[in-house]
Amino acid sequence: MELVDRLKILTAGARYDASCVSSGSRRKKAGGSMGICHSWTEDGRCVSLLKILQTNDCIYNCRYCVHRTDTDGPRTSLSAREIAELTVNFYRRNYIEGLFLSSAVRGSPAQAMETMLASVKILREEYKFPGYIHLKGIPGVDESLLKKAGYFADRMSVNIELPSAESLKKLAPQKKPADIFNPMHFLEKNRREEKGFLGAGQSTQLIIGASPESDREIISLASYLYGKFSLSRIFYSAYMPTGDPRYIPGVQNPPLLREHRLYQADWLFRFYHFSFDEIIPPGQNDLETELDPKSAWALRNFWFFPVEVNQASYRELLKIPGIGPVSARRIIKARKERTLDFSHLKKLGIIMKRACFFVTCGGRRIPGLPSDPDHIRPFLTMPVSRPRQPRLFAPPGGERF
Amino acid sequence: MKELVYDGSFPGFLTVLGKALTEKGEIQIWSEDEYRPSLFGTAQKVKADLDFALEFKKKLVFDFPEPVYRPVLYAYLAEEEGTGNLVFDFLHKLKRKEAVFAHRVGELCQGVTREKVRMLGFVRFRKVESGYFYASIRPKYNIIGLLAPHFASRQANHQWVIHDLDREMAVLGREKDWEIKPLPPIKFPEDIAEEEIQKLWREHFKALSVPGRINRKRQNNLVPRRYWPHLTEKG
Ligand code: SF4
Repeated sequence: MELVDRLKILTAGARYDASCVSSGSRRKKAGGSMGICHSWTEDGRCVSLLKILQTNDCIYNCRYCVHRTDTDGPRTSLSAREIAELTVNFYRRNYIEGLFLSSAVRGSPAQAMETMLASVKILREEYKFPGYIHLKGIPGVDESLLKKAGYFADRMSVNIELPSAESLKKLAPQKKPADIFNPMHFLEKNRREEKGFLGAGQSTQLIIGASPESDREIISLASYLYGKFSLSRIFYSAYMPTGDPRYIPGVQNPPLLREHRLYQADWLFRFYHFSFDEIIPPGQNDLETELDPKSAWALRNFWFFPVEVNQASYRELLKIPGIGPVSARRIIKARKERTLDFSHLKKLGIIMKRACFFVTCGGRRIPGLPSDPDHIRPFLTMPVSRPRQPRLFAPPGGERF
Repeated sequence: MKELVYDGSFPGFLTVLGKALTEKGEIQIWSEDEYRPSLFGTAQKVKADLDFALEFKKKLVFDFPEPVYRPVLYAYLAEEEGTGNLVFDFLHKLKRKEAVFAHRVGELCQGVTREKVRMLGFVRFRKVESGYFYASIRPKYNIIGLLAPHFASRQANHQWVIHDLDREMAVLGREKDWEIKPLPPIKFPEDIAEEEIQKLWREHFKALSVPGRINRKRQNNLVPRRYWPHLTEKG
């Protein structure tokens, strides 16, 4: 097959992967700044990396995956040299900032990983490639291969995909939990011990909606993972119904709204100082779909409000719907100079449409607003962000809710 | 009213601003190109003085409530008619601790920053016959000098050129150095491998989109039309 045809197939095979994010590279100085968007795809996603599979030829039969042995699409590969040349040629022309290389399991996990390693080795050693490299770790590979990979790559991800051992057994019978968690532990250990090893850390991905786990189970797994590994982030990926319907019945459309809510919950956990129980209270299994998890918390805990913006601590400010870390810091800075009133809040970038129900300024509320949760609720659900574009990447950095 | 006229260069710009801030009374600042003699003013030419300009640059960083060198430079690069007066007004107010809320200089600075950041991603190099990497752009603002440091470290191992076709200026980079030179809009013949690589990129780009989720409006917002002619993937 011609190079261009293989490129098309292996790009299409990689596009469901969540990760256009490239940041925190240790090669920042040599390679220019990361996180530059070079273009936007027709469906509105940022392009900054050559995102591609080494091969889509797989010996495994994971039920959720388009590349499983059961399917009969064309199988093809790119050689290590081809990957390296594509990357350098694209990089020099400023099409991309780097490479995001993934692979199906061709031959054996070790063989697949070795081919990927060969690609990045040529890049780094022969072409002195200074750009960003994100490499997928294949479950079940040897530590020696992971070790080498960690020197060439800025970031690696070993994808957990299925949020429980049971689902893994059912939907990816050839993979064992240890095949995934051992490499993650190994990478973590090396990263702690050695500076420069995986400068941009490791990440992982969970598929949402291919298996029966509740939001509660997923968030609890996520909080466990964040505690256990210094993960740069977890990607949540709504299941695209391209798997085997005999095993994953009844999914018509990818659950994009659910994915979106999980990202919001993840943000509350990482940047808003919310605890696991605050995000999803004991006894509740799923996040509300109608409300973002922060507003939902606020309505459940209405006794907490109103918060006086001129006095509240940083963490208290973060609990107010419509105020995020940036605006909370602005409030703290601005109120040193003067007592804030409602017009100031607007200028500081607070989303008053949401915050107005929950704050006082100098002891006063905006008159005429409802003051019980049931009446406030409709105001907060109104601008529900329709499940937008597939959120194959996380909500943008500045998102406040 | 006093009218100060500078030569249009950036050192000239800094010189005239520095001088103007020490003057009393009403003042207008024009570049030679902008200046139209008026009946009532007394025009005075201010010669660019490099040492004075450097001194003044330091003042912009240290003598104001916040460093303002960047807004001054960026407003200059925006090349708007009457920038001299705008920036003078901005600095004058800051000096007297007046409110400069939503000042045009701030807007220009944001506009230039936005275009620069966008352009870091949108510049597209093509290998040309003589072996270096060439990119042509038509930015709204005069930003090639702002792009240069980024590409000088990024493209360190080969020669490169970014050509501003409208201003007929180019940054030429080799190793870690770069310089800005005049360059008329000429066409450079491409290297033979170029067509194939561009095709690969276009196909990769196309294949990245999930079919059925095309969102033209969003895409046009993110990649404004005016940049399209220079983007390989839109070719
Ligand atoms: S191993 Fe990877 S590529 Fe192969 S079927 Fe499973 S998920 Fe798909």
